[in-house]
Amino acid sequence: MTMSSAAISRRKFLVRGGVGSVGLAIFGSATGKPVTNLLDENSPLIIPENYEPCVWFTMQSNGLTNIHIYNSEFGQHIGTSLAQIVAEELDLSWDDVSIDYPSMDLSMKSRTNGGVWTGGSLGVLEAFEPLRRSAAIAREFLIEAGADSLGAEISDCSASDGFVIDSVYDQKISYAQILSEHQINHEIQPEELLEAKLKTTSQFKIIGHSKPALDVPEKVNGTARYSIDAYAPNMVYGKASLAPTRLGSRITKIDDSLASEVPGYVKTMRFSTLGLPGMGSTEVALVIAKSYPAALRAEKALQITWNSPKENLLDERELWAEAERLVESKEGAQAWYQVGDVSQSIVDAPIVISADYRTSMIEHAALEPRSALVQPIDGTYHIYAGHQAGAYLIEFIASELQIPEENVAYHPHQIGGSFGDKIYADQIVLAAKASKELDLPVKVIMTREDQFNLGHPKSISLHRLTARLSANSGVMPSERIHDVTHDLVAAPILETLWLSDGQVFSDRDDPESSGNSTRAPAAAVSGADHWYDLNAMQVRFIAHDMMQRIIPTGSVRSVGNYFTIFAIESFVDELAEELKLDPLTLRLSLLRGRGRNAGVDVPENTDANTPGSADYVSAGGNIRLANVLKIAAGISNYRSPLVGKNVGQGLAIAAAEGRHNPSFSACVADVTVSEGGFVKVDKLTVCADVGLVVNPDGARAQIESSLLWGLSSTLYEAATLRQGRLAESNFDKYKWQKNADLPELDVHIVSNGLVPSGIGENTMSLVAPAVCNAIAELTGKRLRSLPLGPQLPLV
Amino acid sequence: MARLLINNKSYLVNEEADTPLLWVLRENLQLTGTKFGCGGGHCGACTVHINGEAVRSCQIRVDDIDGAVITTIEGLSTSGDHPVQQAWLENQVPQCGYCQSGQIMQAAALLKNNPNPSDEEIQRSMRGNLCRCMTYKRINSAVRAASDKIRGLS
Repeated sequence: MTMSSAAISRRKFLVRGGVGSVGLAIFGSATGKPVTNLLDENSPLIIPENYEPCVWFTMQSNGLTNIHIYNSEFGQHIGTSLAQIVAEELDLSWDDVSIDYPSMDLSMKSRTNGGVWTGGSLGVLEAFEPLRRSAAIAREFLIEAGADSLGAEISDCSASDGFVIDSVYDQKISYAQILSEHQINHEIQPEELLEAKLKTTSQFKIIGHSKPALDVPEKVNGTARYSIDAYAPNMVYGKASLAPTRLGSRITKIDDSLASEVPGYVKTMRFSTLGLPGMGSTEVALVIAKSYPAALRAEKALQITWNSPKENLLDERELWAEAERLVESKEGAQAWYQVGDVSQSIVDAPIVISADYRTSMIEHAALEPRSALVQPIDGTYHIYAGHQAGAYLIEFIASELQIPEENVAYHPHQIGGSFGDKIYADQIVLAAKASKELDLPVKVIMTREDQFNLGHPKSISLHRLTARLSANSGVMPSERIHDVTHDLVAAPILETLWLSDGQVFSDRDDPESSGNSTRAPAAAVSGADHWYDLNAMQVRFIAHDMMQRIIPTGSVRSVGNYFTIFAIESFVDELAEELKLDPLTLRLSLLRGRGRNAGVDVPENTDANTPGSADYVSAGGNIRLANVLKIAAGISNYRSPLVGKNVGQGLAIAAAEGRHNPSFSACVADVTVSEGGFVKVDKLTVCADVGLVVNPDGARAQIESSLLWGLSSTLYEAATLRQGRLAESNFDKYKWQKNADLPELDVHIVSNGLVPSGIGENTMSLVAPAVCNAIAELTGKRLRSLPLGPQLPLV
Repeated sequence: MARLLINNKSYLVNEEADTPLLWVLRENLQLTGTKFGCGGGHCGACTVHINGEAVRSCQIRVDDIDGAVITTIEGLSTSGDHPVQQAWLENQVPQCGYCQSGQIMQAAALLKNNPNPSDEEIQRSMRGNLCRCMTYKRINSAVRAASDKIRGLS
């Protein structure tokens, strides 16, 4: 009972009948004793090995499929979406699906092509095609093996819901039965992937359906394991004692005479730590004790003398004074993104409109403070933690410990909220260094205060937008905009790690960049390369180096889009006012798919099954922005008589995360202002075109989350610098959205494209400009600084 | 020294008097479903029931509750099927999930004392439990759904 030789040579695979003597011999010797096929009482005593055709999933002979998730899980339910993609093409019964999160070491890193990291709202987009193709190929092997069991022609068989079905003789066989009768030895090779017989999107039964998230039950009964829950016998606990400044301070003396009287105190160690290679390094004292409460007590009793550099003892106002100086002087300005020529002089007496926009520092404030357990076993350091880039952690920690990468292993845990925070690894560096020195498992738990002061907040930002308008009222109003320049002052966030190439386009109708200009930190400039069809534009990035020297600013949810979209979308409304146009009309007139804004060129008949379809994620370009804007405007009754006179409505659009992976979204904010001048956001109507949606309820949950994050940042969130560190150190001072005064969220998802685009961040940046545009409509007051809280009540 | 009845098991806790109940639960007893979020009573992630009331366990000195009856998320139901937990599943409330034990314990205490709370009462009771994933809308729907279950309406 072997498969046809033609099939074997074509695909280099082997499906082996379990009753054959070869199989018996192999399994007999491999297991050392006969085993029982539990599904078939007449079977010889054999259970074939698991069917593991690729790194993405393992099928067991009992019919259950374990889908391996290398992305990290921090609330987006990525495991469920990826499992849906596999289950769809493998034609699994959803009840037979489970997920796990494999440990990562050098060999696994190599098997996963260098590893997976999670961020940038890219997870589903990047996995969509490889997972579908792998699963579809594996399905063909199951069909062939099933046909063999049924004695049917392969061409008469198909797969559905965990069965192979022979349509001619109306018989079927379960995957469990097939895999208990057949050993399928085949590892899918990359060159095979293009042969996959993919379903059309209309055949989807699992993709596009709201499957309950597989990681939810354990989060409801308390059994989910997060970094902070990691445990090893004999572990000791580490509590950092922090410097007076975020960066630059050095320990001159540690006096632990009082601390050593605390029962359970072990010792205090001195380490430098850093969040990521290339970020600022910080010196800390790490108190080690036998229990965490003992570590907390001993840390309080510890007396450390620090030497802090005077030049770091700066306050918030000095950050802003420097930002104001930079936006005036344009010192070190880099022209990053350009369309046409903004230096051209304009003859017809232009009107110049200019406005400055400002945003505060924002903390990740994930509810789980960063924690990690590191356990040395026979020279290998085992990291028990949740991190956004476990595969890359191996290299980082090996280098920090000065040991070979072979000697680091990472065991992923659930992440209790990240928003960009769990890309940083100070807690792991500290636990690893201490565990090496003590040769003990060490668990470092950050307190909330540690978390604030070893944090990587979003940079402050200052934007100066300037438009030159023609006085000629004879042309279409949108054509009166000659050019717009955007000078953006922010810290050079992650500049050594994540840079974005600038681009130059000769003019609005030129789709091809004439080449790259300077590079700028992606986390600072993302979103400034917007999708409006302007005649000419220029974005200049001005690095606030002082800020990065004082505070290692980082990537916080929606990164640069949060502030660039706020500035751009507010400014578009200001232009509309000057041009005496409705903001909706002005936007639609600037969203006509010209030049680079048509999105990537899509060959005819391109669909989700086209090889490399992820490259077409931006297909349609700003036409899709115009469409979602029209939908949101329609659904919200935008500025129609149906909306109360006391309600202001403001618009915003965004194509975050970036031009390489846009989700096109639009928002209408309904806002009222009380007699006392307080702003209330009553409703956010949102339409998001996410290309292709894998789990609609999951997508909706991410959008709800993004919108309330956006609202929280708009109204409340501000971290402030005081004497070289953050003034706020807990949630009594750092305010954010509570379960109160929630607006109605009216979320609409458009799923019409080729591939799934990101949903975890893109709608967040809509809220601030939509709310400010609504306030301006209602009151005539233009608020150009976030958060709004300190500017209220309006008078 | 404190005698505590935790999830129907009795313990004699011999820790320093000022040890917060939270760390006794998490580290001594490995009841890690109760979470540490802020240590200052601002976030509610550490919410447990003490004598039936929702309390922030990071703010409770272990020696101050000698004789107390304590329920944690692990003891709320035998198989994760308390009506509040069922409603949480049905409404797909959790995202990262870190605050949800606290949210569920807060909601369960609310509904025990007031099986049919108004929307305002739900928000008043739940507003001290922060959720950084901002699942508030679903939390409130799930509390309402749990109330219906408890009252036999669904």
